[in-house]
Amino acid sequence: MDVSPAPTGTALAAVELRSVTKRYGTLVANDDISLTVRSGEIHVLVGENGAGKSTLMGILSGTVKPDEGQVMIRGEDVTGYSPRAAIVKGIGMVHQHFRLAGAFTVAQNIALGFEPRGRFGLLDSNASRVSARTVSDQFGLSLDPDAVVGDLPVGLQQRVEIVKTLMRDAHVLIFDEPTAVLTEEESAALFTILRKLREDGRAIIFITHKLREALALADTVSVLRRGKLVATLDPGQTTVAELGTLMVGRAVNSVSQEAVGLEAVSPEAGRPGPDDTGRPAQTDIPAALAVRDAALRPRTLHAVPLSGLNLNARPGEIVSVLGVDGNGQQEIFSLLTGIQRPDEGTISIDGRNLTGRNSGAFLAAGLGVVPADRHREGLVLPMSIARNLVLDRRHERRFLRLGGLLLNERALNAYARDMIAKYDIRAQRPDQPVASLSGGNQQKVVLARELERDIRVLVAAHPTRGLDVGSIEYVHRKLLELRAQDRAVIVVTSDLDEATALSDVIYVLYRGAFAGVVRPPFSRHELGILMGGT
Amino acid sequence: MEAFAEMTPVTPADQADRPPAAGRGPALRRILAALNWLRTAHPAVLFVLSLVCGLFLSSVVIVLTTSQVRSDWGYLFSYPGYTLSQTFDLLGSAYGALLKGSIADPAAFQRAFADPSSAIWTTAFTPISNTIVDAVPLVIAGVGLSLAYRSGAFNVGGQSQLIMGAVGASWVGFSFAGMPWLPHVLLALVAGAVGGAIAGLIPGVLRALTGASEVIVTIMLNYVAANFLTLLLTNSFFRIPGQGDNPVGRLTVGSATLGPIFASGLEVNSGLIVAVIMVIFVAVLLNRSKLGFEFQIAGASRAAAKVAGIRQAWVYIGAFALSGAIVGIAGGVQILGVTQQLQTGFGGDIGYLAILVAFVGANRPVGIALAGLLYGALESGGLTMQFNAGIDAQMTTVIQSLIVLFVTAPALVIGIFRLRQRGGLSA
Repeated sequence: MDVSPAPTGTALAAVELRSVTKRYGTLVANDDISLTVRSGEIHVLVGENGAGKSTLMGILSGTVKPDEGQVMIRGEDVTGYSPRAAIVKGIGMVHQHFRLAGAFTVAQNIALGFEPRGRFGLLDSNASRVSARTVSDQFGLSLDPDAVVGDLPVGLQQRVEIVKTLMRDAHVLIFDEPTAVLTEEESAALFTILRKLREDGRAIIFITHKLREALALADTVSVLRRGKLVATLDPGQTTVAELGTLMVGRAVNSVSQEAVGLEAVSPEAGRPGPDDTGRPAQTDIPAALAVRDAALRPRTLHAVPLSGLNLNARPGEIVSVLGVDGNGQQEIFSLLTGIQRPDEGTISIDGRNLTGRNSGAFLAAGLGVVPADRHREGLVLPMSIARNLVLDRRHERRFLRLGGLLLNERALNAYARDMIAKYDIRAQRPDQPVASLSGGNQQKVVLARELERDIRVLVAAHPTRGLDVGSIEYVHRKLLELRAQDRAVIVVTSDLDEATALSDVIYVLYRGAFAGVVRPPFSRHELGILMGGT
Repeated sequence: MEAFAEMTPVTPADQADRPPAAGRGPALRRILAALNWLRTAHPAVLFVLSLVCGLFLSSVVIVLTTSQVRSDWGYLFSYPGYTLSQTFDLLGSAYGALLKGSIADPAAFQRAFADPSSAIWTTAFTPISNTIVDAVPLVIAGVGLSLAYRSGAFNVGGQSQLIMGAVGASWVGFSFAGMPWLPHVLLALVAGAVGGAIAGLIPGVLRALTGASEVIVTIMLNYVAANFLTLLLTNSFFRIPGQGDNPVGRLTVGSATLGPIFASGLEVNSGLIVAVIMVIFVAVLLNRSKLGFEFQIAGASRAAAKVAGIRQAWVYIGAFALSGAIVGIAGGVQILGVTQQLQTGFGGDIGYLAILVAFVGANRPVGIALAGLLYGALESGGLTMQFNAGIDAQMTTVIQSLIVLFVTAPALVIGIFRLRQRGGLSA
């Protein structure tokens, strides 16, 4: 660490939680948690999805009232205060999903909620521009106050959120998985900012799944597991492996070690050509999914045009489409799944030309789909787990009765109970709304649905985004199992580690075209150069 | 919470004579828990409190619009007791009359018990019978509209579908004299469904093919349908001859009438049975059928529907056609059960009220049935209120609107009563 140790001793704790407990029905989301965060400290909180991190942050930011225990801010008991009081007391929250108005400028977004007034009570837009610039320059955030937020890259949008909290003079800043949406450079820039804020004497609570990141950044690391605070550690005295073990309660091969289950499935994973199963060279097998010279013109303002795409995904092969976000991932996903029709070129599954058909035809031809945004595209949140497990399998006779008119509730519930057990979905009942599950368990619902179908090809977009280490390992193992069953898998991702750990071949996407097709052994350096477009 | 803590010392003594496995606390604690539950934002609690808020605001409007009581408020500081008693007298007689006119008059029941005769019993049951008659078309149209709302199609064209349904049902109803009763009624209702479906298909197809806003199209179609009805009534095929300048349609023949259920002269007719069937039908369609499942996926998340291979265009067309057909049946029931003939201005504002009923019933069939009864009661009690308390029957429209206002703004009610949000998501 390049900073002097945080002030200790006489200084009051910026935030102190004393034996905080929060229950939802029978579920104990936070179980007797005591935690102290000092000013000038970066306190990293790690834990699986559903470990209780969000509840804890809700208690701090006033949206959740604890059942027991106390919340102290600078020695003052503020237990059960409102979100508004939390802001007054100096708690600032940077949410994972930004609370910004995309059509407004940076200055307007920052001023939103306490706009400076000029004469006649009218808005003083110049004052808000000036103060936006002052505060952002003070911490080296370099934001253009007149830029429209919707046009900014994610990393800059996040800075707007940070400046918003600083404008309200927050001395405790809470970051909820801030790097989940950032590129590596953007993350590095964020860390620089966080260290500056620490030097300024602010307390920072940083929630993350990424253990390496936690160790690089933290002054103190706390681990949550199933609602309990299992450890508070000095990052100098611990390792990624130890943190991972504490987090999931068992030893894991973290993704960073790039070993996730590969050996378990096929010792020669990632090597094309004949292997010990006696498979012929993969290039001789006809593609399960083939894209020929496809092009897609942008349909919306910020869409990326695709051009000249050629891609083959063969049975028993994992193909990654890798690129930095915003280079056409969403578009190529909608092309591969039949949501959008290509303007040129063809798409075929198992040799059947499906160009111009709708997504239903793609599904019927044996395509499995794991969408990037499970909340919007993958699931219908208010519906039950049982219903969500058959969203795209509703035509199957086993789930229907009366000649296909009615759903067979009994079969649906029995099936859902099977899937809850088989895929280890942490749920109480099959008729529970899927919205009540944690992120990792929601993704398991999506996976259970797609993997249980008789599919030839699976297209998975960002399948592990926002998931914790345990869930990532689980998803990767499932994808490798699919590969071992001679299915083709296409992973659309921006995670270099994920692509190199899983793939037999990587297509690097840059500005809507493939910048290169790379086969193992993968060089991170080479891939990085291709992703950067140079 | 503190009161709760003080109660806990009771627990050990009570639990001593229970097996420790029994997870339930003592009765007192359960009562407290029940009271606690009443302070959470459960939909039923919210609904009742919305009703309370709506009626309270209506009371203010009643006081403000009654000149005598308004002038009594001038004495608030000199004779506060007088002012308040005058106010409560007014409100008591207004809401009392509303209840008497919509549910039952206790005095009428006393007479009926004292002198049990069929005619007096009939008088006693007349208010509730009138309420049901008013509720039937609201409930049927309400469940019809909710089907569209749950599918993500905002159908505000209830009135046009009601009118077109009535035209279809009336046509069959005054033709085919000599058919046996049940087949004739069913045929007339099918014709009503077809009429409503046609009116529903127009916005549905336009939305699916061209992206035209279904809200605008359905609002406009309401006018088109009302004027189309007037046009039909200039035609001798529909219009009954010899009524001078009063354009009314031909009368439904007896074999197509949804007649009274009781022989005693109560107005409640077999349209009630149709309403019950339609509520069950829509409940099954939405909650148990594959089609309803697909509609609701599209209604809840367009993106998820796309990924799941559901075609949005067909959802619009299908939901609008079905929704229109059911609202059309409401029009048919109104023709065959109540008015027996077409007339200009047919349906009053049933098509619009049904939108409110669907919202107040939270777009759930059983909720809509209850909301329909509430709105039917307000409709049928309004006249009694006008006679007994001298308050304009239009006041019921104010009450209906204010209730909707609170029902559709749960955050407002939660804020007024400081309800707790229900414990939701873990972590």
